[in-house]
Amino acid sequence: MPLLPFSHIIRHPSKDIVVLSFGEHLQAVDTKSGVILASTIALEEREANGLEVQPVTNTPDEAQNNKARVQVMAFSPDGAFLATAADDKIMKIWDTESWKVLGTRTLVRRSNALHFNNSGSHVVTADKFGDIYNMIRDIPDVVAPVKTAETTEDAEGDEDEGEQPILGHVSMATDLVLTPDNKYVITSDRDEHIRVSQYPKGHNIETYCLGHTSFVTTIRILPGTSHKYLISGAGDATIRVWEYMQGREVQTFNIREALGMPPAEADAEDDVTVFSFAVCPTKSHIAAVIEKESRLLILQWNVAEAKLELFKILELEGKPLSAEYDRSGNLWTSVVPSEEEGKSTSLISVYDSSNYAIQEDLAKYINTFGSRTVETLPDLIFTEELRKHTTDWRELKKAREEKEAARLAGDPDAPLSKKRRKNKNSRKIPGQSSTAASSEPSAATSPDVAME
Amino acid sequence: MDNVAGEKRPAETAVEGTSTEVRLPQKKYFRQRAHANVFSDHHLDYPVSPAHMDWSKNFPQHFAPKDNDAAVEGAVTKDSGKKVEFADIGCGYGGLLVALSTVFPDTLMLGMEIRVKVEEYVNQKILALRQNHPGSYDNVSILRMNAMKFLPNFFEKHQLSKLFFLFPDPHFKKRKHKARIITSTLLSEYAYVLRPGGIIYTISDVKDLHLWMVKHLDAHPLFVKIPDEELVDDPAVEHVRTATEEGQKVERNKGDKYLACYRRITDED
Repeated sequence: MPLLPFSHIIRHPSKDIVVLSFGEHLQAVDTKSGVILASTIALEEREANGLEVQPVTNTPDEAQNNKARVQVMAFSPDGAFLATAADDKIMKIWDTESWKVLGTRTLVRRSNALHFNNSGSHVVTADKFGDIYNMIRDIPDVVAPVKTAETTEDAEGDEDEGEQPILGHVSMATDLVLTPDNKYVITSDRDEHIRVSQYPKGHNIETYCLGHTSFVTTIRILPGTSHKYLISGAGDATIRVWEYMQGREVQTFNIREALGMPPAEADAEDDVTVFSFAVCPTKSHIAAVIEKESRLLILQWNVAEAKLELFKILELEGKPLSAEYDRSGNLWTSVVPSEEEGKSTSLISVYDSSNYAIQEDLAKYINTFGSRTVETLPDLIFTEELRKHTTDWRELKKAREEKEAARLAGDPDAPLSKKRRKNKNSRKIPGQSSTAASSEPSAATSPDVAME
Repeated sequence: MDNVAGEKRPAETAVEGTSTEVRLPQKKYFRQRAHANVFSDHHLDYPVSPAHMDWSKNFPQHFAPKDNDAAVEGAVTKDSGKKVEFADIGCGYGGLLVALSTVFPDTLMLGMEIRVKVEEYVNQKILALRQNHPGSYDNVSILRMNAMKFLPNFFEKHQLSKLFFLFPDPHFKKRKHKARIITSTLLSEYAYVLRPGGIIYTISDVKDLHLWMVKHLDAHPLFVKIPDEELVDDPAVEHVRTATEEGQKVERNKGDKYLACYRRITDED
């Protein structure tokens, strides 16, 4: 049975710690020793291979029965707090000393990005419906009303109840960053837009950064150069660099070219998609995680020329889910385990900061003890809901049904897919055919609500 | 889908008779249900950014084609330097555009409408009017568009001086209020494309919707209500009340019309 891989890795801003999420769980790992410092699951000893069972503070999460997957995480700038949000729309604030949950609150909708302001007093979230909320960190479950099945119908459309967004996109919001001076909030969406608004007075829109030709997945502010450059990844096989206050595109980095891939076919609906970026705290390196691509792009931000250059292509053991630099500049990567019989993949690999040589020692604890086995691997790659389909929906539906039938015939995954269908909060998953949504016309390809 | 007004799509399809005067298209051939799902992915053509937009297909007398291969017949070879300044969001059958075209002959104005057939009707109507009245109606055009999503793809910051929302879809159900064209967050986008001093015109025969629009406009820091006495001198207002098909229908049924106009201001600090 496969081990559940880690969906997200995030670095503590001031300590040698990374936090990894898998499913509904979190692990905090010391990046100097590789020792697991805290975990939300009881860690069992498993084929220890001569490893001492490492010291662990188990901090079982009160909501253990809650199987919602952690979708996003953010540290407060001083590192005292970690915010996580899962696909059940519950946001938790963790104390990073005791690794206890300090408070929870129910978000209006599923969050795609979280960001603390500089003082740590507020958490900004960007949600599935495109709304951006500026939420006070310390008030759990007060402002946003908890939705039950009975109240959902009414409350959904009523924007007078509960917290008001500081800005909104009529599209799924995919990512957000605050500028280092906290004067602006930058948000990206599924309709190719990147928007720069004042923070927290988001009604003042400064400008848009327009140039991507497909959904924007991730944005980060580049280090140095007075923080005036923004990097964006998208589903159009490009990484773009912006002088964001001017809305000016200064560079288009072609991923296909960098990876030696042929240009996309003219009628292709999918193109190479950037998942996420990791920005190195010690040197101007950016790791770009590409969907379904086992090669990681290591880019160098040439500060003097304000230019993004290819530094290295890093071959991973599998398809990556997340990458993050720790405080010393070592790169932590997480991959989906190989489904090949008898082949074992390291879920986590760590590469050193100077020449990206693999550091086996640092990952040994987390790889040995950190995860747990699951019957079948869930789908962990979620860009399907971001794509727009120009094919006739009936053809899509037919193709999905055929695919599903083939899958059911071969069986192993069948129960999983049935289970998923019951979960209303789960994202739409490629290959999942007979949900109610996919039998509707054009709305089926939209992640936004079907209004008709 | 080719949704842009072009010479290739003359008014013939719904036109009868052979006199030199081109007959205007008839609405009965272009009816479409009044609602569209603004959240779904329609097959829309929109430019990556305002700089990418080729306006020559919409305003051939004012814009030179960006790409000579796709040149519009009869288009000018040099831009007149004008930009679109009025936008009628959800322009329907285009009554307001046609009326304002001659009131503001030097101003370019664009209607945006999400329904395909309605867009086609207005497009043909404008082309027929241009043919019948040479030199007139060159300043109006229509695009099939979802204005709730893509305004910043067409208009630069502060490009517009007037935005019209006439008899918008009321979306009565509470659950669907977020699909309304005036919301707190959308008003910020309208403020982005409107220049300071620019005006939003709203009118509805549905009192609930009117109150909703007023409430959200009043609450928005970038809009301030224009007092009725100031509106008397505004030549657009009369047409806002009477020029649209919806407005005339309300009149026939002796219904009420609720007008609310707001000026775009700048934030205090």
